[in-house]
Parts: sequence; structure tokens; C-alpha cells
Amino acid sequence: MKGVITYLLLLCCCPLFGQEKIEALPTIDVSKIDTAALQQNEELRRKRSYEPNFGEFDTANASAVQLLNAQEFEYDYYVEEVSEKKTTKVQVLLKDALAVSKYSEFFFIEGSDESDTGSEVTFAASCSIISRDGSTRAIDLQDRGTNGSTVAVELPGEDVGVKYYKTAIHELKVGDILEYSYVVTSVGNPKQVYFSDLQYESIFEDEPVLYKEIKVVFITKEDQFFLRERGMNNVRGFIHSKEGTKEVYTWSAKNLPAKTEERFESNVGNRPWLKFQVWNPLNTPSERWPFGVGDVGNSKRAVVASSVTEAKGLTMSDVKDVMLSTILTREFVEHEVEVLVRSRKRYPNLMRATAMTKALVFHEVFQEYYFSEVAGPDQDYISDYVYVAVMARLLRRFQHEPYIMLYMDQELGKLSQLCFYGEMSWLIRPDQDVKFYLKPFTRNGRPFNALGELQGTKFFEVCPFLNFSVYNYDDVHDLVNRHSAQQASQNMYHSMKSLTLDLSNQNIAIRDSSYYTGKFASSERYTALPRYSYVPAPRVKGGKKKKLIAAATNALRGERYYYFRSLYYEAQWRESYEVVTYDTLTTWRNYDILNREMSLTETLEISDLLAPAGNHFIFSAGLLVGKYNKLSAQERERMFGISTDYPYTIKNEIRFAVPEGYKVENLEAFIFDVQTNAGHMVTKAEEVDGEVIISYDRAYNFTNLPRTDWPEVMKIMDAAYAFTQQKLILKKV
Amino acid sequence: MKNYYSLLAALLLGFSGWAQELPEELSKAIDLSRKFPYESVVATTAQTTYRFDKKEGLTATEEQEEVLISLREDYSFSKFASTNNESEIVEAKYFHGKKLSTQRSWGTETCASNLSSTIFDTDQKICEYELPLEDVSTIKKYTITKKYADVKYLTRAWVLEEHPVEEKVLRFEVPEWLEVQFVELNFEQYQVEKNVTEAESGMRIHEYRFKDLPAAYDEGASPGATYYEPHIALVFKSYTNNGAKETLFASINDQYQWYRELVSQVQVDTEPLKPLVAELTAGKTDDAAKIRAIFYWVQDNIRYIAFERGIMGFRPEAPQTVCAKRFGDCKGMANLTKEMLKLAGYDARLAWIGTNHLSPDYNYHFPSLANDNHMICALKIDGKFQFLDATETWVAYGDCAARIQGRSVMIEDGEDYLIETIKEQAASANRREDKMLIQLVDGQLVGAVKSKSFGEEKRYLMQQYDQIRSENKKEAMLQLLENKSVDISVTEHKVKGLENRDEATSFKYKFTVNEPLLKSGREVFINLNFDRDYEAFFIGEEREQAIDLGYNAEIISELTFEVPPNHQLNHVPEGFSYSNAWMFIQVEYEVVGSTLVYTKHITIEKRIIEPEDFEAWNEAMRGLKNMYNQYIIIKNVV
Repeated sequence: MKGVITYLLLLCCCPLFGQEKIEALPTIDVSKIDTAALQQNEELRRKRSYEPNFGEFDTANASAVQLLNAQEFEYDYYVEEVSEKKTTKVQVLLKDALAVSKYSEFFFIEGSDESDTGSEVTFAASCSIISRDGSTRAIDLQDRGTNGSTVAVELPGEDVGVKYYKTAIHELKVGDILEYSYVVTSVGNPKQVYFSDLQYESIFEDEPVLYKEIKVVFITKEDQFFLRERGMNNVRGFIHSKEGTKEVYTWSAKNLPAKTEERFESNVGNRPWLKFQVWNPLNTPSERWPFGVGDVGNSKRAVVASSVTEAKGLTMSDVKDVMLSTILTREFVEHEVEVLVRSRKRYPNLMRATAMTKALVFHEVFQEYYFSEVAGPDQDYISDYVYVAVMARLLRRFQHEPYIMLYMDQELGKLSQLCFYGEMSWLIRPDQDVKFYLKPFTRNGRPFNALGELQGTKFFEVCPFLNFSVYNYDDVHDLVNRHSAQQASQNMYHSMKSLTLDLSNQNIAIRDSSYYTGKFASSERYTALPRYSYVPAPRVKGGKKKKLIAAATNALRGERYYYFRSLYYEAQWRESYEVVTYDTLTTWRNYDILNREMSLTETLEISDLLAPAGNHFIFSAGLLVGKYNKLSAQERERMFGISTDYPYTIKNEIRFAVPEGYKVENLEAFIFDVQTNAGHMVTKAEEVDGEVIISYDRAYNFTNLPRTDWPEVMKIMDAAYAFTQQKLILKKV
Repeated sequence: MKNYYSLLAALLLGFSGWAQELPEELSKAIDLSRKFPYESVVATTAQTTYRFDKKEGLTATEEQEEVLISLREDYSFSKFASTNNESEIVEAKYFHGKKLSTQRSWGTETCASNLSSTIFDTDQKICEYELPLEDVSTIKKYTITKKYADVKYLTRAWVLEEHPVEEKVLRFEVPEWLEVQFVELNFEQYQVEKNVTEAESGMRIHEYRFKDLPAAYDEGASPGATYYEPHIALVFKSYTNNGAKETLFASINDQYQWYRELVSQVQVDTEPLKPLVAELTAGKTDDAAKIRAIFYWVQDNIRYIAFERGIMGFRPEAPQTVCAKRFGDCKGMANLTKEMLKLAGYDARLAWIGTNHLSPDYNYHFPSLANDNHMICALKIDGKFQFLDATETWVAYGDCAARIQGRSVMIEDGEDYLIETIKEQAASANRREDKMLIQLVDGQLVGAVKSKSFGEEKRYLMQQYDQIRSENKKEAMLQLLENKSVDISVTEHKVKGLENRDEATSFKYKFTVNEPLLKSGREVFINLNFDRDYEAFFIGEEREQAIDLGYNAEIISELTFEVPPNHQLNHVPEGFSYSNAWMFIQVEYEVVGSTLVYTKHITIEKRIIEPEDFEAWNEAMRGLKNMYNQYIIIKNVV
């Protein structure tokens, strides 16, 4: 009977059946929230909070509906050993066969293991079905006999104490509610617990959610643990209340539609999400940072403050303190590397070299040292923090004052939304006269100027290190917005296509000279190099044979580099056209020079775009700028803001001589003039002295726009699609 | 940098001037790197040796040895080896240093379950052994020894590796007490020397020496590896133990008897099934209705989820268990179908079959567990067998999915067995029929379409539709209908049969063409190829492997274009036709009164396009594409 009531309650809460929105969390009691605490938080909420409100939405046609999605993070510091528990509970109403199929297998973790910090971490799970008749049936996750339906699935690299399982859920039917929960408990020494893991919670799930709740609970004697949290993109933060010895922070939302994919979106940057971290500043004396060179995964996880008071009022400026004080701890690393540099005597004139040259030498030596002495075989990169810290110390030792850049990946939000130490990214430039922003090395990467990547990103620049051992606020300069005024014209792809039409074979010969600037150039360098880098191997110390091997290695690298680069660009063309022949005239050398521009010249023959019509020909010239997907009806609706990685411009210039004995018609169809706040799409077409010239200029001049500007963006997109559909008529005269 | 370019130039010129100074292995590595630009490592020699033992049952060891030369610097070579409940890696070691004399034991970095499919669970584990190759021209050797607890599970010896091999030897050391047959498959394209010698102990040494082997590589859309990769099927017939001859799989019957023994171990209890069968067949008088009711119930209510660990890879789950749990693998579903049909009074049996993922060489020509990878139910009715595969959710009673058509099937027949062949259906069974009317109305092209899909064409649609979430089905259907070579908007549509196995799927819809008319003076240019079937399906020159189309198919399409009043047809393209033994293409335009009737008939009778067919295929597709590009011209004559 109890099951029947539960089921009916759930159904009543579901708009599909009861025509009412769910009003109370069915399984988590929220009635005890301290109303006084709520009021106290009201002002804060008004300032920075928005209730995610998508109104009522239709769940009638949904494949599945999550009636409940609740997560509770409980930190119990009353006990001898600190206990952390994360409970996830989900109830899903399965409304079609696809949903039944999707949820017919349940994956879970079971067992316990010791974490890196010495805590004992235990995993548990449960699963049950609430049927249409209200009966509840627990799924036996221990049913592991020969005929059982649960099997252990061993995953690579996992420790023996923890096993991964999957079970097939039997007798699952349309109309059932699947309820499952995961519990992860961590018990450890409180002195080793400074911070919880960073939690990033997307607000939306694969299915619509009627009620979602995230709750953080502390049980502590002392006022020493805090929640640092931030709601992103119009999501309000947590509401604080007190329940006896418990500090309770709750976030909840109702009627969340399923997450959808939209064009011009970033993963999280323009979507509602939450981030939070439990933090104990008293337990984090800066002199005891547990970081080392090899400690890549943990090196950026904390915020430093000297007292509870400061901790509560931590501001952006404290981040600078973090950086300087933690850099000091890098001395032993720097020492190791410096010894290596000096002992090799490979650079006799190094002291007289410029800061840039020194930086490149240090980069190379450090890279070699790191991957031979520190990194494991599977590790192909270094922590950006460790890299910057070591490089800064080395440059200081060689009488240069490096600048350190501090920024946040656009995927994580804006710099002003920085919340945790671990969200920061680091770069360094050798000194004030050098505009080369060294990016941390990868295993085979060569020094790379990240300036292009920084464009459009706000960052701090910290300089100079006048007195490295004594921190002084006056030495820190906040250069936010330095590079934020990025223009679409600075990130450009410009293709100039010179065509020769072969009407008898219906082929088109193309000589395409393309030119990349800004972000286009930097990203092209990476994406065009899928397998091999053009990185000369480190200089080799050793006998003749060793040197010969190194020389051969370098030469083969170069050969493969050219080979795969050509294949890559040929493949790009083949994605859109039937390519008869392809060749590249590019030497590729400009790919390897760390400049901000790049050019490429290709010659090819394609056979797709000319079609006969009696004695005439139809030329699908619009497709020469590349195919463009038409916006679907679903895509015309939009839930979230509009994002680009950076403002950009795409230009094309297409030229061809009108074949003898023919005239060109329908040029006017290629003329577009769309100009909006979001950008423009301006094209021209004309015939001059027997030569057709079609110019194409499409630009998006924003990085982020509100959802309401979507019609402005769509005007450009619609024009871009329409252009690709246009055809010329080559009429026999 | 300057130094670098001089070295590069020297290398590109073949090290002229100092080539003689290059160590032999470095010179070799450079040559191989240029020969195999995609490869990071090449085996200069490789040998896999099989030995047999009868101390603890009939067991086998497989010792693989390779000498590798690195074509890259700082390359981590990974050797993958699979194990399961019946096999284990007993030793792994590698050798380095001068003359490869320094030996190291080789621990696995990782060993994990095969998670390639979440609904199919086996006891197979993939173990990865990593071997660092520090420099270009570094040479190392490894050996891995794998033991099979029962030779029954050692069904094949593969030849190719994941990298090129200059010379490879497959060596079988067959004791005189063991009778084994080697079935050589797909050897035609390879240089191989065979040699059999006899040792003093009476042991026969069978050696296959291969030269210049390419890396095993799936080019995509290829049939299963048994179609094209060289390998040897191993048939262990018998062995002598303590003077007595023990029969293994000497014949298909031996294989059947082993299967039969496994099936007999299943504890069948049909009592729980009786009410269900009674309910499903109640009120039905003809056989087809009853069979359909049972077959469709299993299709609809038993989800395919396989747990095939150890012997469960061969022994079916009890039918009452499958029914209660509502999931099972192919064997469990076949067994449930069989028992339910038997309760309804029919002669239903289990049947073992290899799907067309296996080459036709595996069609019970020799006894081997490799012959089958699937189980279905064979129903004898009116003296003939019908084959019911409940794992194929969208197959109607009377039909068979393409993957089991043309395959031999081993059917239980008491103490004996029967081998039957499932009929391969003609392409017409998997056809699409389209009728389209195109008109020019108020300066805009509009269309009305009736389309029907049958067989695999229909099942493909049903499967795709079923995988779309309910809330997205409407949009997805519009996208499907609007998927034309011109930009159209569907204005109204009706769909029938997407949820009914027994009838063709039919679409009726109307659309408007969004693209503006292409005009020149009084002439209008129109391309009537709204559906460009097989367009751009050209096979590249570099392709070596056959292409598996999935099923044979037929497309019959008729488009009627109504020439508007006051217009005349100024240009009608020529038709196109192509035919050979397995492909027929005919495209024609015909003026009928004031209409232009455009018909297209494409029949591809082959499922697998072999490399020798590529030229004919491309020639046909080229002609078809040229046809698709053609425009008609109408002219306003007023």
C-alpha cells in the first residue's frame, strides 16, 4: 500500500498526470529550512540571483521525465575522522520503449579504496522500480551467480578495492519509475582535509527534470568550514540555513527542460550551472602546500588565506597573493632545473642572450628534464602552474623580470566569475618587451605563443617580480581587459580562389590561396597537425651513432609533417567535393614560425559543381565557399545565450574567366547585404572584362550575446545558407 | 635550424655523401618509414608457434614472438592480447640490448573487460603490454605465451598483425597422437611457403612462411575479417590418450552432439509459460496468427541483453528465466520462442547459425565453434522450416533479416541434426517504390509523393525511428522527408507502417521547393533529381577491402512533371542505363502528352562489392551521377 501511495504521489506531482507542478520534494524533507535564514539571504539573492524559470513545458511527448534529481553533499566534522558523503538520487519516469531500453542497464561502483590523501573512500548503490500499480521492487545488485544479471566489469587502471558493475534490470516496462541512488563516503584524517573537490553541476539533464535539488550540509563544532559557490549564467546561488549543528546550503529548481544542443554554444560558458567547493582555511597553512612537480593533478586546488576573516571576504585580489606565495614553494624545482642548465654547458653565451632566447632554452631543457625525470609514461603535459612557476624563477635568476598571466578558460566563464584557485590558468612571457606568451609544454610540443588564444579573453598580468621573496601588492598590476577589444577582422580566414572551368569534362580547376590571421591561424596550426609535430628533437649529446639517429629523426619528422599536412588539407576538400586531383604548393614553413598569420596555397580539380542543361551549363558557384547547414525549425528556437570562441571573419574571393562562347547570367542572385548587431554577410558579384568576381564577407563580431539577439544572428546564418544554394547560368551564345 | 635543413636535405637526397656511414638498422628504419608513412613500427620477423599437450586434457599453447624496429622516436608500442575463461597469458617477456640478449619479464599495464558493447557481455579481457621504443631504429623483441585450457576454443590462427611484418612464420608442432586439420583461408593475395617436416619423435612440424605482410586494417564498411584476412581454421579431430582414441570435433555431428549436451543441461520448466501462451493464442484459429502472436511477443517483450561468460556463451538460459527477467541473449530468446511454440503445439527447434559477419567459408563445411555466432528458432510447419529470430525486433513472421539470409543453419533433430540453408531474398524484397508528381504553381515548384519501403529498407527506417526519443520524432520525420537534393519544405504528411512489421512502410507527403526558379529569359532550368540515390558513392582508388552494403536493394521511382500551360519542353536529357550480372540501372525520360515522365530503376543484387567489382561499380555510379546533374529546360511560349 505504501508503494501505491508513493506512486500516486509522484504521479500527482507530475504535470503529465496531475496537471500540477510538483510542490515538494517527495523523498527529501525541505520543510525544515530555516525561514529566518532564508530572509537573511534575501538581499544576497536579489543582488546576484535568478530563479531558473522556464515556466511550464510539455512533458507529454517526452521519452522520459526525471521526477527528482537530488544531490546531497554532507561533510561531518564532528566525528573523529572527517566524513564526507555524496548522495545522488534520481527518479525517472520511463515513458517510451527507448527510455526503457536506455535504463535497462544500470552501472555502479562498489567497494572501498584509499584515496591519494589517505582517506578511505567507499562506494555503494541501490536501485528499485516503482511500477504502475504502485508496488516497489528492489533490484538485487548482489545477484551475481551464473544465472545472475549483475556482472563485474573491470576497467583499466582501477585499484582492486573498487569494482565497476553493470546489471540488467529485469521486468522493466513503459510507465515504470526507476529510482536509483549512488553514495560515496570518504573518511579520513581531518588534518589532511583542506578542501573538497571542485564541484561543477550542470543544471540540465538528458531528460526534463521536475524537481532538482543540490544540498550541501556541514556538521561541525567550529566555524571553520565554508562554502565557496557561484551560480553561473543567471542561476542563483545556494540558500543558507541552520539546522542545529548543521550548516545547510540548498539550491533547487523546478521544471527544467532537457538539455539540448544549439548552434553557437559553448559547453558551459553560456549555460546555467553551479560551482562550489567546501573549504577550510584554518587547515591550509601556506608553508605546507603539498605540491610537487609531479603533483600535477593537485597543484591548483586550493585558495590561500591566513584567517577565517580573510577567507570569508576573499576577493579577486587575494588570487594574486595565492600566485606569489605558491611560486615561492617552487624553489626546489627551479633548483633542479637550473643545475641541469648549468651543468650541460650547452649554451655558453646564454648569459648574454635576450630574455626570449633564454626562455626558449629553459623551455627546452625543462621539457626534456620533466619528461625524462618527473612525468610518467602516460603523461603528455605539465601543469601550467608548475610550468609558469619554474620558468619565472629561472628567468629571475638570469636577471629578467617575467610577466605572469592569469586567466580563466572561457569554457569556465569570465574572469570576473573566478571562484576557486583551481580555475585559474597560467602563462608567462619572458619580460616586458617580449610579446611572446609561453604556453606550458606538452611532451613533443615546441614553444608556442599563446597570444592568439588569449585574444578576447580577459586576464590578469602580474609584474614585475622586483623582490621575489617579499610580496608587495604594489607590484601587482591588474590588466584586466587588456586584450578584450578583439575585432572580428583580426581573426580572419580569407580564401582567394582562381578558377578555370573545363566545360567539356565538367571539371573545375582551382588555385586557392588562403590566408589565416589571429585565432584562425593559431587554431589551424593545431588542428591541421593531427599526428606529428614539426619539432626538431633536442640536441643530442653522445656518440656519432646517436647523432645520426637524431638527425634521421629530425628529417623523418619533417617528411611526415609535410606528408600528413597535405593529406589533412586534401581531406578537408574531400569532405565537400569530389576531388579529382589535389596538390599543395605550400612549403609549410610558415606553420612553424611563431607568427600570427599563416598562408596556404593549393591547386585542385573538382567535378561536382558544373551541370549540363542542354547547350548550357548550371554552375553551383555558391558551394565554393563551403557547404552550410540550413537552420532547422528546432534550431530556430533557442534557450541559451549565443557564444563564439572569438569574433571572426570569413572572406572569399572567387574569380574565373567566362568560357569562350558563353555568357553568365544570374549574378544578381549572389548579392547579399545583411548587416546586424551580431555581424554581417555582405557579398557582391560582377563581371569585369570577361572575368566574374564574386566576393564574400561574413563576420560575427561577438563572443557572447543574449538569447534575444538570436534573430539577428539567424539573419546572417540564413543568408549564408541561401548563398550556398545560388547557381550561375553559363548560357551558350 | 640551419643544421636541421642541411640534414633534411641530405636525407631527402638519400643521404648521398654520407649514406655509407649510416648504421644498417637506421638505414632500414628510414626506408621503412618512407614505405609505411602511417606506421610507427614494423616487425622484421615474427613467429607464432602452437604446441599441444594432453597432461591436463587437450591443451594448447600459442607462443608469439616478434622482432620490432621503431620508425619513430619515443614511441610506446602496445601489444594487445585477449584472454577469457578458457585461456590465459602464462608468460610475457621482452628482449633488448645488443643482439637482443637482455631479457625482461613484461607485466601488463592494463587488463580490462571488452566493453565494445554495453548490451553484450563476455568473459573476454583485453590485456595491453607496453614496450617503449626510444629512438628511430630501436630494435626490441617480445614473446607472449598464451595457454588454451581446451583446444576446442582455439579455432583460428590469424596471420596479420596491427603493423606490417616483413616475414612471419606460423608453426604448428603437431604430436603424432593428435589429428588436426588446417583449413587455409584467404591465402590467395599473399606470398606463402608451406612446409611439413617430421621430427624423430613422430611430431609433424607444419610451417607457413609469409612475406611482406601489410598491417591488419579495417577500411570501414568492410565485411567481417574472415572474408579477407588470411588465417587458418583449426579443426581438432581426435587424439590418442593411453592407447584410446578420443574424438573431438571430427565431424559436424561431433560438434552437434556437444551442443546437444549443453542444451540438455538446461532446466526447462514450461509451467510458468503456459498461461502466457494460452493468453497469446486465445481466440486464434489459424497457425500464422498463433505463431505471429508468440513470435512478436518475444520480439517486443524480451530485450536483447547478453551475459555470455564461460559456458553461457554456448548454453542457452532457461526459457522460464528469460521470460521472467524479460531479457536474454540470442540463445535465451531462441529457446524461449521454441518452448512457447511447442506449448502451442508446434514443432519448434533450436538452430545454430553464423551471421553474414562470418564469411561463407564458415557454413558448416568443417566442424568448428567458429561456424556459428548466433542462435535462432526453426519452426517446422507444413513440412518446411520457417526461421524465427526474435533478436530482430522489426522482422515480420515469414521474413528473415539479411544477416542470416543465405547462411547454413544447423537444426536440432533429436540425436541427429539437419543442415538447411536460409533462402537469400532477391533485391526486390528490400525495395523502395516512389511516385512523385511535380508541378509549377505560381512560379514555385511543388511536389506530392507516395513512397513505400519493404524488407530491409523498411526495417532500417523502423530501427532508426525507434531510436529517436518521443519528443524528437516529429522533427526527425520532417528531416527524413525533407532530406532531398534540393531545399524543400514538407507541408503535410502521413506515415503508415512504421510500427507494424506486417505491412510496408508508406509515406504520403506534399512539399514546396524553397529554391527560386532558375530562369534565363523565357527559359526555366529544372533538375528533377530530388532523390539522388547512390550519389557520390564512388570507391576510392586506394581502397583494397570489399564493401559491405548491408543488404541487396532495389529502387523503383517514377516522377511525373506536368509541363505548365503555355510552356514547352525545350530540352530533355538523354537516359542512362547500365547492367551487369549483379547490377541494373535504367533512367529514362519520356514525354507523355503534356507531361514528362522520369523513371529510375536501380537494382543492386550483391550485398558485398568485391575489389574486382570496383571498376564496374564506379563506372555505373559515374553514369548515374552524370544523369543526376542533368537539367531539363522548359520555355514560356506565350
